[in-house]
Amino acid sequence: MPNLTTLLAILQQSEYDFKYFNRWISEHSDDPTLIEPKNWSPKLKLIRFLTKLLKKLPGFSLTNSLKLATSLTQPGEWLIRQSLYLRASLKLWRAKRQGLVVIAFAGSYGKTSTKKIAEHVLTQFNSTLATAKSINTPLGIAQFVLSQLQPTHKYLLVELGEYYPGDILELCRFIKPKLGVVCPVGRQHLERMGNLGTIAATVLELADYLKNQNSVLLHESLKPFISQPNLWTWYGQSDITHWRLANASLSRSGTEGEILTPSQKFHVFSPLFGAHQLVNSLPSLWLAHKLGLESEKAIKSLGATPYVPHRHEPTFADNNVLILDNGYNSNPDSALHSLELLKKLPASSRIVITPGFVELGETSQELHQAFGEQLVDNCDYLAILDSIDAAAIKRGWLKAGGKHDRIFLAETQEAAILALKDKIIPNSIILFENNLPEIYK
Amino acid sequence: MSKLKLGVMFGGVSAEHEVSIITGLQLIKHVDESKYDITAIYVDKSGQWWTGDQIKSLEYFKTANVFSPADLKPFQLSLNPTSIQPIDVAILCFHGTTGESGSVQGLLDVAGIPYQGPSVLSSAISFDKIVTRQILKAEGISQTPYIWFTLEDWASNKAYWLAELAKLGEILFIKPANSGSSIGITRVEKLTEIEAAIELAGQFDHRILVEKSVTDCLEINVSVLADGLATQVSVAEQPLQKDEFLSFADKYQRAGGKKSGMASASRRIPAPISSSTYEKIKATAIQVAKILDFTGVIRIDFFANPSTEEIFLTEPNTIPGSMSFYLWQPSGLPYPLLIDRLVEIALQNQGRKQALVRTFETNLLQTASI
Repeated sequence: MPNLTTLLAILQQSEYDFKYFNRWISEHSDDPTLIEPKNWSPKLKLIRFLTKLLKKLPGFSLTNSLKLATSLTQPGEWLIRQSLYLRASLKLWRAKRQGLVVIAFAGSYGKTSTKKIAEHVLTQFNSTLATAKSINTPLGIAQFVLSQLQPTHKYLLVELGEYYPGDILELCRFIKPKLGVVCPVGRQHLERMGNLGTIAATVLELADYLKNQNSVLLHESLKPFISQPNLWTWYGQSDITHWRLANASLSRSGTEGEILTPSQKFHVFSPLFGAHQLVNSLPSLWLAHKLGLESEKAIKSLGATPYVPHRHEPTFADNNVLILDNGYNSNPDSALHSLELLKKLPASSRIVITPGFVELGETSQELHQAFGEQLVDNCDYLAILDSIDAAAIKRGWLKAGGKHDRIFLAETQEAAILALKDKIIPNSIILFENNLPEIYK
Repeated sequence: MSKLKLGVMFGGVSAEHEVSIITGLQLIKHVDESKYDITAIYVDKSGQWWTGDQIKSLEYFKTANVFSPADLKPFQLSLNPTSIQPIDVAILCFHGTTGESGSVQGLLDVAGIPYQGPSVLSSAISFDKIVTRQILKAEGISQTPYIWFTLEDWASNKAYWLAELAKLGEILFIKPANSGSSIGITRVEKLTEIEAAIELAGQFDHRILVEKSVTDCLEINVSVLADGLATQVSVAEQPLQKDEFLSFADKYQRAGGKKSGMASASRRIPAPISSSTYEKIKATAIQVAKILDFTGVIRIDFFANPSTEEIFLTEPNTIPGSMSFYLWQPSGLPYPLLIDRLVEIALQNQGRKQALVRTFETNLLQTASI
């Protein structure tokens, strides 16, 4: 039986949702592996304290004590949350009166990169604050606003997360953004959301909230899900978009291309890898335009865009070996960008290390098999990490003609690297596609 | 047909003695031996010239006395250019004093031995950071702001120079005018650190250069291959600090307690700059090669601001470490072919010198009286 620390870590990873917690418990009842929580939040510490007390009562198992302790914290937590929201709302209201512009980013994927790029560009002009890492829940945002927002900040960039319908609207009512960007929609959290249409409707709650079409920029992937698309402003690579990337080319220096705005055309360079990262840069140019900032300066600043952690973040190893870390929240749609990088970046050997994706519901096996098939044409060696659908990826790889001696199974990323040591030759590319917390293993 | 006798010269009385040995031995390792007979020529730290097959291997130097090496034959050249010399062509792999500053180049000119270049004048100018900057400034080449003074100037009026340095900028590089690589160079962020930095630089030269550090810039280097007529420019590199970008690679370097064989890169090739920034750097490198009359393989260092596409020349290195082969390989010129080009350039240089008018028909001696 896992000990209390491990159970608390899993509870935290499941976002305190017992559906995912119970599933993990049922599959790991004999697993002695110790897992540490990501951080010991006050809530987690309180649950630990209460669990220890309850467990002393007769008839209370560890798991039941933990569940009851979690329930007992809820009323108090609700009160604390409401107090935090109220204080954060007041602080935002005052800051807006002094000129703060709040900009929201929704979407299934790409929003952290889009937000980070926008932060870099807008910082060239005025003091800009962006929510850290992937903080995107009401509580996380409220705490961030209370601790980080200063009177000197002119722009506040907020990432909005969604697990269920209504989440985005709730966040919008809280932060009341003036401008919004809806990033690509994809099969992220499919298990919780049910289907792509529901996901799209949820992320589009940002557009619904803002109402004014001129205040929102939408990624082209959302077009099938919106009525009267010609009323909205779009970005992407297709002809329907108003803010468009064309003629993208990729090298180990970075990515270059042409950016077409409704009135101008610019040559652009970004050290980030992939046309998708230049597409993620388009909203920052739209924002600069909406905020009355100089377009040319904004475009040129993209040449110094910092790498976004765990989003095709490069490490340059000796012998010109390029390691790309795409270890955060990959899904079958965003993974296509990784395949594109493997196809287009010059390399003597292309190695992929992946556990697959999570929360794909009933379609999971099918999508993992398809991923295995896609990998055959885009990588030379594949290491599949221990995960629920590892077998489906392997099946896809072999079905599409992938060789047995070019596929490896490994428990961890470290073990995969050791297994592939001899395959890493000068000029190789190693892609880490996704990295799963223990709850998904 | 007999093979060309190629002399590879390295070592020297220089703070960069060891780096030069590595450059020389790397070059020897990559020479196409079907084309050349190699003579390794080593100048020890006391300035004595040696040769011998042992010095073609790094193993020898791991235990050698670099002030007075054992078991080697003295290497000798005749100053009489019509004499039969032990080598037909020299490739200079020296870094720093005497070997890179024009002195050895002058010796080879006198002895009539072709070498890859640059010439005495070009080497001497480029070896002095202050003179290089003054010439390039006069030619309109973009450089970071700088001032210079002598140790005597500094000692006689420190308050004046400190005020000048404060005006120049907050972050400064203090450099001796004559020194290669990063030896004797200090980056200072506080005025209180300046005195020690000048003292250190003063150990290498009495002329001191102080450059303003430019912010938000990347260090970008290219190599040029020049024969006096045409100049080729390599791909660009970004030198990386060893601790930069280490986290992920480091994690796997000791994966599971065992080495996976991956170490962090010391340079990024190609550099993360736009094609238009690269074109600017390339055009400037070609211009500088012409202004300073470069021949051979040279590395030219720049700072580039990726946000504004501004570039600033830092300095040229007339005999770069590893002969910049790592920049030529990805530019389509493998090391053995780069060496062939250097030999060709050396012979072309010699041909050009011989074609110059050196003598006049004159009756001066018939009519002169002393």
